[in-house]
Amino acid sequence: MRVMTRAYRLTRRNLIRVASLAAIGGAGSVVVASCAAPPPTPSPKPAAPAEAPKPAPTTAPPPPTTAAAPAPTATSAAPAPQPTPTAAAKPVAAAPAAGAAQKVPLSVFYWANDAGDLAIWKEQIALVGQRQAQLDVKFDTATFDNYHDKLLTMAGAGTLPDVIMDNGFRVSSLAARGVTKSLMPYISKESGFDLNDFVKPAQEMGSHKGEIHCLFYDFVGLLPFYNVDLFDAAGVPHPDASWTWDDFVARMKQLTKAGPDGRVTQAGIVLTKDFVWGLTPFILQNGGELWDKDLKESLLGSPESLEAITFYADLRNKHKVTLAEVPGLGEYTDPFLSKRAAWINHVVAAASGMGPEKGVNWDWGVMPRQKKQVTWAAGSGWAMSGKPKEPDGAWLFVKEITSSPNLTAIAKSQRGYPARYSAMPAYFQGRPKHVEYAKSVMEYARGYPTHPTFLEWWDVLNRELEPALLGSAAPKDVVSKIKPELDNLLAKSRQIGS
Amino acid sequence: MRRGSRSRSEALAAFLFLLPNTLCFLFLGIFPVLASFSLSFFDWPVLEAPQFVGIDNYARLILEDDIFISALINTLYFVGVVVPLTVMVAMALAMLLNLGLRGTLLFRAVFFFPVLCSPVATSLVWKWMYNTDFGLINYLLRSAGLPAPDWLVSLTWAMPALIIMAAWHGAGFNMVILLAGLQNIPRQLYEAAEIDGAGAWHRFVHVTLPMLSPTLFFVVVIAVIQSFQVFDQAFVMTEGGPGKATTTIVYYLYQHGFKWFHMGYASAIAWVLFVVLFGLTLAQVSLQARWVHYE
Repeated sequence: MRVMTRAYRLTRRNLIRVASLAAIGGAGSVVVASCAAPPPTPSPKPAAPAEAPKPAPTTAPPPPTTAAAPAPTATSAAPAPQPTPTAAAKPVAAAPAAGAAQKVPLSVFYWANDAGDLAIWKEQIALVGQRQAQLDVKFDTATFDNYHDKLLTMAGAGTLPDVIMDNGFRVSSLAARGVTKSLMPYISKESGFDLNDFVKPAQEMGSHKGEIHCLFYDFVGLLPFYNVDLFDAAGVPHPDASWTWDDFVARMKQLTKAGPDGRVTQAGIVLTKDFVWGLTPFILQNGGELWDKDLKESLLGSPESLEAITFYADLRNKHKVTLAEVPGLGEYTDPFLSKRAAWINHVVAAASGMGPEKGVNWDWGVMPRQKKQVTWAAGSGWAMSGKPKEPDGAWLFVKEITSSPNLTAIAKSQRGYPARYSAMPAYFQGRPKHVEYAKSVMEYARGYPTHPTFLEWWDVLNRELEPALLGSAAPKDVVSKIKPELDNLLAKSRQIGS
Repeated sequence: MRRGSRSRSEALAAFLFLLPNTLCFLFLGIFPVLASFSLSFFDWPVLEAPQFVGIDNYARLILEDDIFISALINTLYFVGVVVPLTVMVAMALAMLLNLGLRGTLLFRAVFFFPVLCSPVATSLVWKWMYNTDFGLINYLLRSAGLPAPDWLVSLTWAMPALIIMAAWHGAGFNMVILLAGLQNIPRQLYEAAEIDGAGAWHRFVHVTLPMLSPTLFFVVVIAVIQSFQVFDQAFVMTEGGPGKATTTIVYYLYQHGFKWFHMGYASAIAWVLFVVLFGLTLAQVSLQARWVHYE
């Protein structure tokens, strides 16, 4: 029963033909689109992001080179670059408004973890825009956890943006592989750029093979936070610069409480199984090093380092001044914030997660010392990608977003502890009484040394040293066993980018 | 003639309908698989050009890499305990629910609920429950006067902790499948067995198990494959630790591939895992004739 004319009939066959043509057309478009050149820049998104917490230091006036900077090891820790120091710590020169008519397209990629971060970075980019109106910034963001995966995917695909955010622990890794570009040629050409306004450890950590690749917006040292109420209740004097390791252990014992079954219910200190946050400060304080200056040999087997590792493990297994659970960084602050531990070593900027709403009456202290008064510092900043389409625009952006006015805004927002001396005073308003301890950290901190395979090196140590920390293996045995693996990673680091 | 033309035309239409899905399958399924096989013969750190290394990745993996061997042993330990445990728990639950008691529907939903929850979220909750100092599990153990292990910070107890959690998470899914299998067993077989004087145990062994064996076979094969791929718990709860105690093959693959960007080596790990799984599945299929009864 054919009622409809051929022209108007909608039979199954016709439907199939139409659908097939549509499918072929669609598939063809996809193929053509995927063969086309990749889009030039990341997609623009409004709002500015920000990164994970990073600590910070001093209000103090620009005593630039105070840092005790014990010879940083290895690549990134190469001697701080010597650019063109200049006059006073002026905010970077104002916009060269002349050529403002010509817009410079610029792609920027950074991490932002939440709406607060986004708002802060949006403001930061707006501040840059006020001074450099010719920059037409398109930006893309990711959370910190996803940021580096996406960044390396872009690098692998050859679609890196002009400017990226860079984390101190990854500076060497990215620089050695060409993901970032040395900023030295640009810094040298800038007559008004005062590199010495950046704290010295930040210059060290932002460098690879003596060349600055990253200018930090925040940079913070590791120091103790202590619970004032628990200290007072136990009658323990507050920590000061005179504490040695022995004093430290004695006072942690005073602060520790155990239940009838011997189980610790209130700990002196929170330990973490993370090598960087947990063990490194003690190794450095005891005069140990992580590797030699030529990046040829792991030095964790030295008597100083071994003694420090043993000391750290003993806090749990012998002195029992910590909880049995040894958290990673994800839960590190929980025992402190739940008032089950009186002391935690953390970066200055961790203060932003310990506001009054947490109900912990805390203050900053001073790291106990052994052979040296030393701690480490780290942070995050901005870098120019390896092959920027607009190198001059990229440098202008990096220079402006790490300028003193921008970092002062960062400090006021409590987003991070600024990496410039001139921006530090804004950070400490309304802080606990011992801000001087937080301010002075940069005087004895060193930038955490890294190398191109540092992240893998870090994972190996976290994995292998944990049994020693838990008392299931002797530190000496563990360190001897993993030395070849660590030395092998150092050898790879020497090769990468050489 | 006309009929042949019509059938060709219908075949063409069928192929065209299949085309989108086939393209997706080829590009998103087969191509990455082949690419990973090819990559397993290269050293490719993503940011540098791949370098052909022949079978070096495989040789290193099997002959030199202690961590991989530990990961393999850990995974076998996990699979060897989780699969029987999950299946036995699921079987017990399914048989209880099959009794048709009051509240069956509610309990079926309750037992299935963990399957619906995100493994990451449940892992976080279990991580808190396992906390040595203040966790719920140790609180209950101490309250009962029992020793409280260090769970996730113990080289001995970390893997059992993951196994218990995995069994809790996976039992509900198997329970539903087994329950469906149980409900398909004809009642007259039980009646006949009863008339022959078979007790509950004999009915279970001689009626339930044989009739359920095809379902059990399916459940075991799937459970083995899923268990070999254990990752979430190790990633969220222990980060493969303490030490290497809970480093599994997939977690180790993740570390090489997505933390350290050793894509070639990670691909080799994936292919070794595939070979192990494929071999085990083949063995299960070839052994099924001995214990699986099809009607």
